[in-house]
Amino acid sequence: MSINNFSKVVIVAKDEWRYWLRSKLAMTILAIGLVLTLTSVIVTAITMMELSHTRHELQTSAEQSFVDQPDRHPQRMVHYGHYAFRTPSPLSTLDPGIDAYTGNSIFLEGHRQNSAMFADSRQGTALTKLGSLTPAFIVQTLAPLLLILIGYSAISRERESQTLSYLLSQGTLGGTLIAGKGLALMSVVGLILIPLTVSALFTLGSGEGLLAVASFVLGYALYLTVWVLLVLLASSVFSKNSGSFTALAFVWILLCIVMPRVASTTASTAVPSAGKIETDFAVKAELRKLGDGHNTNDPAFKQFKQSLLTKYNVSSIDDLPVNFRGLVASESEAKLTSVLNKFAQQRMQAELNQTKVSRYFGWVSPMVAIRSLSMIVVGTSIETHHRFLRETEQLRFDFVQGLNKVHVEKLSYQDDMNRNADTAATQKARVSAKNWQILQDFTFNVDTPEIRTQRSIPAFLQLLLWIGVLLGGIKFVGRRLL
Amino acid sequence: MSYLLKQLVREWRFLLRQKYLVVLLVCTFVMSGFAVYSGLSEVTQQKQTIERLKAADLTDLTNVQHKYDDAGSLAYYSFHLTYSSPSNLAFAALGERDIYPWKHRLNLLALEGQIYESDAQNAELAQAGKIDFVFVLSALAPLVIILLFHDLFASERTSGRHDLLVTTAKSYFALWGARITVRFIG
Repeated sequence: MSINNFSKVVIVAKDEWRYWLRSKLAMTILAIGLVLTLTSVIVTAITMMELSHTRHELQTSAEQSFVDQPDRHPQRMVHYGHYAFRTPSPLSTLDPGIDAYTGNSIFLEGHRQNSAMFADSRQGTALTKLGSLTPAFIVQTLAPLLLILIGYSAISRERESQTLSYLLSQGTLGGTLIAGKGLALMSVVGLILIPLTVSALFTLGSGEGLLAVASFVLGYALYLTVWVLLVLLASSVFSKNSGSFTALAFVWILLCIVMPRVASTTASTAVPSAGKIETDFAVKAELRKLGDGHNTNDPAFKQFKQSLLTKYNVSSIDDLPVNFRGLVASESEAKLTSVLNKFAQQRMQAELNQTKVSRYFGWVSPMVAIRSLSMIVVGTSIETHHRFLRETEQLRFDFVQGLNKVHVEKLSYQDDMNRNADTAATQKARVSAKNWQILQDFTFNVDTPEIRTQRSIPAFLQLLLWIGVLLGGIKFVGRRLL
Repeated sequence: MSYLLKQLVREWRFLLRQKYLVVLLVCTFVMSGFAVYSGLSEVTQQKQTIERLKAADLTDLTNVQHKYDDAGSLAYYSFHLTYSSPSNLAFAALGERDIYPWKHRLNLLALEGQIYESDAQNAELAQAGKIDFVFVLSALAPLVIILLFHDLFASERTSGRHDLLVTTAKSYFALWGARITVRFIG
C-alpha cells in the first residue's frame, strides 16, 4: 500500500471517529464498555486476591494443626489426614475459568483418594449460571456486541444514504474505505484492551511469566480482530443498516451464546464419561484382590512375609529388626495407590477427551477458541485442575508413606501388637510428635508459561484461520462494493 | 376472511423474500431442535446410568453380605445407593444436574469422611453451560423476537414509504396487524 493510499485510510478512520463523537449512541456504548471492563477488572482482582489469600492461610493452618498433634500411633495420624488447597494463578484475576466449578480443597488421608470438594458454584444461586462479571466474560461476550453496535452501519450507512457512490466515484478504492473503517474499529479494540493489558502486566509482579501475559493479550487482540472483520464484512454485504444489524446480532447470538453450550453438550453426549461412583465399583473389585493393609494375617501378604524373613535371615516376624505391621501398611499403601492412580488417570483422560471435543468447536466459533485459549494460558483450565489432583496425590502418598516409615522404624513390633492390652501399653505404642514434621509445605503452582502457551497453539490457529477466511471474504466483497 | 388471508399471504411473501430472516428462522428452528434432542439423549443417558448403578450396587451389597456376618462390619462395608431420577419433563429443563451431584452412595458409619466424596462432572464443560429447551426459550427467544421486530416500523420510515403505506392501507390492522402476526408466527 502506497503512502498516499495509507493516508486515505487514516482520513476515513478519522472521519468515522468524528461520526462516533457526534452520535450519542456510539459514545454511550463506548463509555459503558469501558466502565464495565474497568469495574470487572477491579472486582475480579479483589475477589481472586482474597481467595488466594484465604487459601494460602488455610493451607498454613492445616499444616500447623497437623504438626501440632500430640504423641500418637502413626496409623492414627494416617487417618487424621491433611488438607491441600488450590491457590489460583496470578493471571486468574482476569479469567477465573473453572476455579468456581471445581472443588478447590481436598482432604488427604491414607488408603483413599478423595474428590476435590467445596466448589463455589455449588454455593451460589441460580443467577450466577449466566456467568459472573469477569473481565474474560466482558471481553469475550460483551465486547463483540459493543463492536457490532458501533460498527454495524460502517459501510451500509454510506450505502443507505447514497454517499457510497460519491466516495467510490471520486477514486477511493473499496478496499481503502473498508480498511479505514477497520482502522477506526481497531482503535476501539485497542481502547477495550487497555485495562486488560494493564492489569495483565500487573500480574508480572506476582510472579507470572511474560510469555503467558503476552499470549493472553495477543489472544484477545486476535479474537476482537475477528469480530472487527465480521462487522466489516456484514456491513459491506448488506444493502441496509437493519439487515446488517440483524445479521450481526444473530451471528453474535450464535457464536457467543449458543456455540459454547452446543460444544459442551455435544462433548458430553459424544464422549460420555462414567462418574466417580460408577468407576468406584471397578476400583473396589480390583482393591479386593490386594488385601487389607490393617490385617497382617491377610493371605495376600503371605509372599511378602516370606520374602522379608529371607531378607533379614530370621525365622519369625517377632525377630525382625523392623516393625512388620508398618511394613505391611507401607507395602499395601503402595499397591493400593498404584491401582487408585490407574483409575484416576483413566478418569482424567476421559475428561480430557471430552474437553478436546468441545475445543474442536473453536473452528466454527471464535468464542470457543478464545475461551479455551484464555483458560489454558491463564492456568484455570481442566489441565491445571488435573495437575492439582496429581500433585495432591503425590503429597498424600508422601506423607502417608512417611508416617509408615516412622511406624516401621520408631515403633517396636511387640509394643505395637500389645497396644490394646491396657492403658500403659497404649501409651507405649505411640511415637513422639516430633515425627509429624515429615509433612512438606505445599503450595500449588500452575504449569510453566511455556507449557501453557504451547497448549494454547491450536486455539491460536483457530483464531488465525478465522482472520484469514474473513480477510479473504472482505477482499472479495471490497472489489464489488457497489 | 379472504381479505384478511390476502394480507397475511402478502406479508408471508415479504418475509420469505428477506433471505436473512429466513436464515434466522431456520437457525432458530435448528437450535431448538438440537436443544430438545440433546435434552432427550441426556435424560436417556442418566436413566441408563441409574440402571447400571442399581445393578452394580446390588452385586456389591450381596458380596458384602456374604463376606461379613457381624452387624458392625455389615454397616461399615455396605453402601446404599441414592439418586434422583430425571422427571418426565427433565429433557426440556436439565437444571443444574451438571453442577450438583444427583447420585450418591451412602454408608451408615463414618459419616464425616463422606463429605469428601462427590460425583462431579467435567468442570470445563459445566462452566460453558448446557443448552436445553428452557435456555432457548428464556434466553434466545427474546433476542430472536427483538431481531424480528426491531425495525417493524422503522424500516418503512427509512425507506420513505411509511406515510404512504399508512394513508393507503384500508385499516391499521390490515397493514401492521398482518405483519406482526406473520412475524410472530415465524
